[in-house]
Amino acid sequence: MTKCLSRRTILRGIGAAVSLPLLDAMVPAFASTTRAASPLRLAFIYVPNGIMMDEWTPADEGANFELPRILTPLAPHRNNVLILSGLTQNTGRALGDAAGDHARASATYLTGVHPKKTDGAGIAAGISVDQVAASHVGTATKLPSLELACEDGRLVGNCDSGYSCAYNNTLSWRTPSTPLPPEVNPRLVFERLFGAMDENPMDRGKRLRNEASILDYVFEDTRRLAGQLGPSDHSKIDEYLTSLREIERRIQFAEKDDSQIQPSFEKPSGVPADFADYVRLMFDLLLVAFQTGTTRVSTLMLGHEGSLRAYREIGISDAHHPITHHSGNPDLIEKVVRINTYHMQQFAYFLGKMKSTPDGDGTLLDHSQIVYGSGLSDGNQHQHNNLPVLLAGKSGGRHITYAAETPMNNLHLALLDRMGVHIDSLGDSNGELFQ
Amino acid sequence: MRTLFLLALAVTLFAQDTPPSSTARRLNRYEYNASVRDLLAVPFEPAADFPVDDSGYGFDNIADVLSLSPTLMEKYLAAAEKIARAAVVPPIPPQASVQRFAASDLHLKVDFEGDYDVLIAVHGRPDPAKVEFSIDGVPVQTLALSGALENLRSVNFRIRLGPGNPRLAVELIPAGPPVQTPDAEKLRPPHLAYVELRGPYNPATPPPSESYRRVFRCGHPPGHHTLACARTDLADLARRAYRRPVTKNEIDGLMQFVEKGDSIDQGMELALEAILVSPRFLFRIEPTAGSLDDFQFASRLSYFLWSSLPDDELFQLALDHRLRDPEVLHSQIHRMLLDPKSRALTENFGAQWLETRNLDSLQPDPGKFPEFSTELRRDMQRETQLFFQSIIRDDRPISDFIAANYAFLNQRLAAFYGIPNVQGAQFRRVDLPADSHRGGIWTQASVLTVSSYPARTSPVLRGKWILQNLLDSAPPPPPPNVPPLADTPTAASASMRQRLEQHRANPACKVCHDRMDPLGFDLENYDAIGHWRTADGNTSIDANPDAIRQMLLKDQDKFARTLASKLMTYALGRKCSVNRASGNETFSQLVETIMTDASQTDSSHD
Repeated sequence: MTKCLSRRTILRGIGAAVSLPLLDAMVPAFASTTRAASPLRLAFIYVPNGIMMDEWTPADEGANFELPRILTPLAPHRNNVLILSGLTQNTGRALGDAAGDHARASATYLTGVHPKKTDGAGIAAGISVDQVAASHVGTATKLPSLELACEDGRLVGNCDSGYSCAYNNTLSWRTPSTPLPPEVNPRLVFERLFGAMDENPMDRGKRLRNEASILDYVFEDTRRLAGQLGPSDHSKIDEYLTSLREIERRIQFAEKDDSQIQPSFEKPSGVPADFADYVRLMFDLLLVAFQTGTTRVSTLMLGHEGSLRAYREIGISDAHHPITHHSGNPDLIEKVVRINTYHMQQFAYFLGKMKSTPDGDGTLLDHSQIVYGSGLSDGNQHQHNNLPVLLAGKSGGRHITYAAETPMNNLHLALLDRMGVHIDSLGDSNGELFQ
Repeated sequence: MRTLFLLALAVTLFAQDTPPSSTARRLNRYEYNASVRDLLAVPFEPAADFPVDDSGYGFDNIADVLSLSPTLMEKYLAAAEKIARAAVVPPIPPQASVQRFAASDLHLKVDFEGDYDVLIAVHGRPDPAKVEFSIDGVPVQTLALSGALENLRSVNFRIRLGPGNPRLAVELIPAGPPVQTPDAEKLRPPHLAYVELRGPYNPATPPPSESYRRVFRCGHPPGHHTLACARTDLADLARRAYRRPVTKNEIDGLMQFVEKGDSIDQGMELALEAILVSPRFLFRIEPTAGSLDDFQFASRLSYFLWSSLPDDELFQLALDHRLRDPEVLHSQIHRMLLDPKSRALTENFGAQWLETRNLDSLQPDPGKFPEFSTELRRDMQRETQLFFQSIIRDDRPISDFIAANYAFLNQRLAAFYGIPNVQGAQFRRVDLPADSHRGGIWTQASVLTVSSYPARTSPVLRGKWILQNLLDSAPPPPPPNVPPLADTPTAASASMRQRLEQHRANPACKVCHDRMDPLGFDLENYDAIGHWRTADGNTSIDANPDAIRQMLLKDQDKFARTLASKLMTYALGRKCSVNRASGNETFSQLVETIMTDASQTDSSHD
């Protein structure tokens, strides 16, 4: 086995002293993927309202650990999963902003930036790791990234204690003020990935040319409009122009790319009623997006922070969020553990499919970095440290505990590094977790 | 006089105030649908597949929160293509098809004018016979049925029919003695089996769709448009879509599509697409308040009350600089509230303010609430909608929201409430009996359900609902890392009230829960789907909903200010507060105050 030392063995930034136990154990998880001919994919799978950590964290470190109850569905994939303990998203803590831990949990999960506490005016978090990756590797694909969720974010009212729902509804922030809403309808995901399957090449060419000419006109018209506006309107118009440019890129991409991708399954008709069917269908779509090279970067939220979903499929009719505030009640704890395990069963299904999908010289899972976890550890007390984090990919089979308070964003930097995106810092990172 | 004073005040205020961070406000999904509907009358909702609009301050039309992702841009472009296609492409002549009608019901179904072949099939003994046809009682033709020895015979004829449901009558008249053969004896006398209608052939040119007529206003048939007409049509479309007069340059720009297109029709289609993805359509851009021009004022009013663009009347008044005349504004507000388009206020403002929009996604525990059904859910929603609409359209005092002595019910919902003598599925206004335990929005099952958990009530949620939505005094959020309720052995068996009292024993929690919980406790007579009860399991309920009514009535001016502030936040798309309003005011008076004050009351920044 070859081991590679980092080019930058001294970590940058103020957190250079962060201890990196079992650094060498990490190498096989990543090293081979960087050399593979197939590009590396990156996905974040999010579950809301924390996890019962007692039933998640293995008792032992290293390779010889027993899978705790919530992780038992991963048994067949044990050697593809690293369990990373000890990571913290400090920016999710109140830091003087009082309540709102749920909103902050999702807003900081991939950004590492403490979000501005506002119910409307001046929404701001930070650019998220998936979007950093998308801005680099996404130019090579039809869609730079794909944001998915298995829960509609349409609830009204304050989403959490004075935070706009924008903070709960997505993990992905293209800029500090532009959250990217996820798609929740499998049919629409399919249409985004594969477009109108029945369009003939001539119609398609004509449509793309027409779209390009419309965009040209609108660019010009918007410039004229912007000239008439005060500075306060510019942020929204800039956002509009940026989105317009992205669409222009997609049209140019589509004009060059006349290979019609044939999806391997039928177009879904809508949202399945059964939760497991729903999640699995979204996982299937994510997989096919990766497999066909339609995108390399994705986020998928199984639910939003504060989710009130009642998991009747497994006999739980209480809403999820309230029972995570279990106050130590064993009956409620048992229900939360069952929900956590149920989610994990769906993730295991996804890993199984990724593993059985050939890709280049290996499988799709070999060429992917899939992070699974939540922005809270203990949902009862809203803890932002020692987060539940799994990293699935080509290899694994180890449980690694980092020093307390190691920023979660150090993991993000490492993931980016593996994607060939070398940046010095992201959010509150203080070094790279491992290389 | 008053206007002058306000103007002076506005100038003073704005000299010192920081302008809001952004006044470019993207149309949300509802506004997009409504604007396209009123612009082009296409028969579908183009924004149905757009991503959800995030909300802020409880509403999904807040300028700063409405961002524009590439995904949404992609959908705008696709929607513009679909809309323009639907509007510009002339109706396709219908294809001939075959319909079969049973002898028992000969009301034909004709969708298009054209020639149709009518075929009559006759069963039974092959006796010689004549067939007499009439349509809508008017004799048309008589044909002979040949006597061939088959037991299914047919005749057909061609006739021109217009759209409708003409009634065909067929009479068989014997034209000779019955056939006498051993085979024929087994058969019944001749009788009508069925009628087939084939067509239309040579169909009349179908009339242009409403959308088509809104685009091409000169009235030329498809394929015969002129450049001159295209120019006036485009100017008109752009004016309505952009909600203000357009310049010659803008029209020149749009005309490029027509001049360079394969045809005028196709050029118009592209130009229309360009209009629909232009920021001038997708955004409402207002300068900092106080200096709205007449067209911006008209848009603010129409998006406030209709969630859509100004109609011709509003536009003309803006053009004449008359819309801000207090009397004109007054009568326009009345006209607009009575217009069916004010439904938008109920569906957008009302359903978000009262949080009843969430009812769609809530699933009360079927084990505990077997009576909760899709129908009951719909009825609950309907009740609140009709109640809200009646306050708007009948221009009721807004104190009705807290203490109306009437409700809108159908039989199912009345039975659920235990109110007698309401029969049938139709909703109607019902005067509430004194002992009904209902009256006012906070007693409606929709509200009581959305402020509960799926399996139980939550006095905390309900208390917070009342404070936040009716009294604008939402308690501050709990401190971070609230210590959990002590898990004592008695906790499981203790009543909800006893358990929450433990909570309130903690000083950090007490300060707010002392305000929220008592309100919620007084609503404990309503279970988690709003059904009246006197006990929760084995625990009898000690509650007094009437105390809530008394408290709200006493505080009705505060309620009025709350409603006014929320309406203004909704109208302006940013956080606003109104510090004068009274419960005696009617809904339209509130709207008038907001439209008049909007230019001088600015947001409280946070």
